[in-house]
Amino acid sequence: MNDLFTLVDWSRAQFALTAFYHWLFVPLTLGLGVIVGIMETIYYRTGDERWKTITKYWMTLFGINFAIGVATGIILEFQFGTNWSNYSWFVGDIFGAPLAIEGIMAFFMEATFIAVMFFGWNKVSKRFHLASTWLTAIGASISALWILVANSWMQYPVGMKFDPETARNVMDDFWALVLSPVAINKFFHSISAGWVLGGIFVVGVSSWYLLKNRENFLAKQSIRVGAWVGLVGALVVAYTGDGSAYQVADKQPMKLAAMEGVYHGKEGQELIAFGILNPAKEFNNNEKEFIFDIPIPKLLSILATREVNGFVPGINDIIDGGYPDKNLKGEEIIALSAQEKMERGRLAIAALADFNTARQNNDTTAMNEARARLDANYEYFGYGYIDSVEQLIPHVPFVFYSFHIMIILGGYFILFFALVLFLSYKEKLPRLKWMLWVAILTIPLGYVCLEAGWVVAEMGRQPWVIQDIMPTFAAISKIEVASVQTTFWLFASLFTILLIAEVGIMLKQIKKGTEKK
Amino acid sequence: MVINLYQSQILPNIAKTFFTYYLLSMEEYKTLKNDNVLLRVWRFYLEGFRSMTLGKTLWAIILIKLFIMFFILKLFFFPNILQKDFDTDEERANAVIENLTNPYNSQPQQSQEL
Repeated sequence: MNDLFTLVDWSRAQFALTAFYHWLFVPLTLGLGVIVGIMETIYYRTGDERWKTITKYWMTLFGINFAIGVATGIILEFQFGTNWSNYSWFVGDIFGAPLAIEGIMAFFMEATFIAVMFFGWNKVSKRFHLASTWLTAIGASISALWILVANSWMQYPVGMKFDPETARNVMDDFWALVLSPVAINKFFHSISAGWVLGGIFVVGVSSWYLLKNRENFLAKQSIRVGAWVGLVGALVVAYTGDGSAYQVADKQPMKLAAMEGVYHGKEGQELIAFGILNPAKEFNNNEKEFIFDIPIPKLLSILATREVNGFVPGINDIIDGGYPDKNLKGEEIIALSAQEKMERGRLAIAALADFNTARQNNDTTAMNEARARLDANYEYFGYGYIDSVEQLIPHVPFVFYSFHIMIILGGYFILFFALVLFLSYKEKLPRLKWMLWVAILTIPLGYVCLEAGWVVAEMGRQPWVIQDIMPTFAAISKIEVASVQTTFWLFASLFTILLIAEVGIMLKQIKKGTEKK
Repeated sequence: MVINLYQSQILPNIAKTFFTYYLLSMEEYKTLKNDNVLLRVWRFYLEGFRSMTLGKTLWAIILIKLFIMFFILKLFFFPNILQKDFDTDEERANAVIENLTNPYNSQPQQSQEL
């Protein structure tokens, strides 16, 4: 295993493991927060004590998930300083500022109001308690916003200038960073995905009660609230997912090509609704892309370019270049080949080296000349670290299948919630045992879908840790592989224990229901 | 600042409440009248924590988790490499520039696996 996995791979695996576990807890917090807020709003408006019981029940499950998941993301920040020190330094305050705001503002907002949410029943006014519940949910979402702003900058670096004296990217436009279209889209996509998971969870758990003929009022009412939140969430996910695909086509075309398994692009490109990739296919051979596929004509062109016959480049086109494209400033250009970008990247790296040699010699003229070369080539800086064009291609099967699992499950969730609502309002759901089982079995599918989405976003942008500017293998610290291996297994153990604890406590609480001690 | 807090009776009130809390029963404690905002907040949290059932288990998990993260993982396994190896930002910048401008000497190889 050690022969296969190098320091970069172990560090990536460790980061992926941490993010994977963190992303198990976060979306349920986001989704349940909103659902609990809606339930308490109904209680506030109707004064019906049964809604208070329902609210307090789901609030307990929210609390379990929150408690187990809180701070699991901090470990990601530890890894930046140890495993990814070049990256940490290179991104400067651009990455640090949103994370700091997240920590100071959103976390304290959550921490303050969650106390009122749990301790405040009968101690503060109903209105203040309701406000606290909503502010906890909003605080969790704001928390996610800043994390996603930081992540989006890695996918679409804007609002900064590179300072060659300090080797740091300096933020020169805070609002360009925060209002980046990628960040805005990613925020709504992720938040609404949390609503979907929250909806699935509430409908699934409530269905179990109906199967057991317990907590009938709670279950029936919760199913309606959960399914409405889930349905709205799934529709927003679909809308923002379309926006995300459009942005990826524009800013990360290699990711889109991997998502759809496109090697040779064309005008009027079809979308693969379902496909089995040919394992023998490489970018430099003439094997067929698919063993089996169901294409929908022209749909990928429509989604990616908003034109029926728009050109969508494939992996080979991106490597060969020569097609109409846009640069980061949105200007029309002819796409450079990978080799040309690699040349430009090496020029940028050489210019950085020359700048610092000139700086040490106090040679202002040479510094200015090197700075001009660096600025002219900086957008391809990361390509200077690429040895061969193969390194620019993400793991196509991993990205392709993850993307298609996400899309198929996303479509299924819309149908699922619509059917649950229909059956619920027709009062047929409690009698349909098969449907109740479907609802229970949908819970793990919700997690599969969300993790698949994360894989598409993060694996699809490989090899870049910052798109076009820094690949993973330039971001890494020179540390011992053994130390990363040790902490990898430590994390794997810690997170698995936490997950077992969460599932155990959650199941116990669900079995207990609303019964009094 | 501490003197000010003492003179304004905030510290003595907090101390009084803390000891009263442990000397009196919960019912007796609740009947105490005190309009001080800080004290009411303090009491709010104390009562909240005292009345927790499942919450106590969850807090235990949170505290154990934070202890493992900050006092074991961060302290022994996750030093900030640049902070540890260099004293000034200038040295750190030079080290990163060296890494970035001599990638073939300083960067590890990436495998072609996942």
